[in-house]
Amino acid sequence: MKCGLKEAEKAELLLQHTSVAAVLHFELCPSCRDSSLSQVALWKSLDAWSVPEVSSGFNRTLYAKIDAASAEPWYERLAAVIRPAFAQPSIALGLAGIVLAIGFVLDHQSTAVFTAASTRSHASLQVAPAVPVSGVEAEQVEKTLDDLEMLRQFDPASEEKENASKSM
Amino acid sequence: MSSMGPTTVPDTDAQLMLRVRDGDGASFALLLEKHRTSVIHFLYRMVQDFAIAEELGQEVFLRVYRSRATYEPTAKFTTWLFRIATHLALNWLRDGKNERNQERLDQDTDGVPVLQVSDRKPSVESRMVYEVKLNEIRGAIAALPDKQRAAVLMHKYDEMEYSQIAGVLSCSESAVKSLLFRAYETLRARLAHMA
Repeated sequence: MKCGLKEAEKAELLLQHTSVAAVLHFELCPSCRDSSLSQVALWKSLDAWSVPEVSSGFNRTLYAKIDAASAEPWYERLAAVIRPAFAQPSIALGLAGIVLAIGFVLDHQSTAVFTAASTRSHASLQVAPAVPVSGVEAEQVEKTLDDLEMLRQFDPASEEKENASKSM
Repeated sequence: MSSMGPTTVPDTDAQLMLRVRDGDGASFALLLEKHRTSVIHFLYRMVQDFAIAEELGQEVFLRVYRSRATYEPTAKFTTWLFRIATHLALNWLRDGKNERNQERLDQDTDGVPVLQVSDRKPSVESRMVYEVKLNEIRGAIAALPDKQRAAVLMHKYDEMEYSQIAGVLSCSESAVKSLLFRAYETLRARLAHMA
């Protein structure tokens, strides 16, 4: 006899194999009865899989980890929370996209600000009155020019260049 | 299997966890004692390496402790606990860290003295038969798709209700029954000779 039950109904009966509905069905359906018997045998076989005792140092290691975690600074704890998100490529890509978008916007904003600022500075150069140069500043400029002249004399390349330009 | 029921009283666990939230370390120790074995056994059967199972088990309880401040008893404590454990185990399996161990599966028993559980001294022959049988069970369960494996382990070894397994795996009860039906069907076919 072929069993006409759907998968969900069969699942229900096999998982609840001692229910009245299941027992009644198994009396009429040898196929499901066999499945149920082999299911019970399987559960029995699976009992053979025993697991050893938990190690004696388990709690000690755990509490050491808890202490270490409590001593971590807030940013490391935050990183520990965020880190798993980066393991998923979709989230990592999304975050990278957001960072790029923010960078793009900020970059354009700063360019705009720079342009505006430079426009303003040009304007201010045009309208600003000449700044009076103090005696100390003039002296410093003169000294720097002297230093440059001295360096130029010690530089043979520039000397040759100068001679060449003179001969022309 | 129909007589399977919850192994814990949810209210008690949730109350203990609320006390942990209020800074009571002793309540955390009670929760740890109560659920440590079931969590590690579940993890061991998921990843099939006892050292890894203990490491993941520590991570589970570390996460429980870290989440104490935001804990709300919206679901059974064990559902929440096993959801963390399942998540960690599935991530570990997905990361492919188990490849090395899968290779070892047929060679030894991951350093675990399998027959320590028996008080009687078995003969060499019965010991070998037992080890072969155990390896077949381990291999058959390891070959199941991750979600089916988790569902079978929670159903068979932790005696969880369908609703609770559904809560852990974030799916419906009927989906859990379907997962279990398919998983047991596969296991029946693979382990038919053992019955």
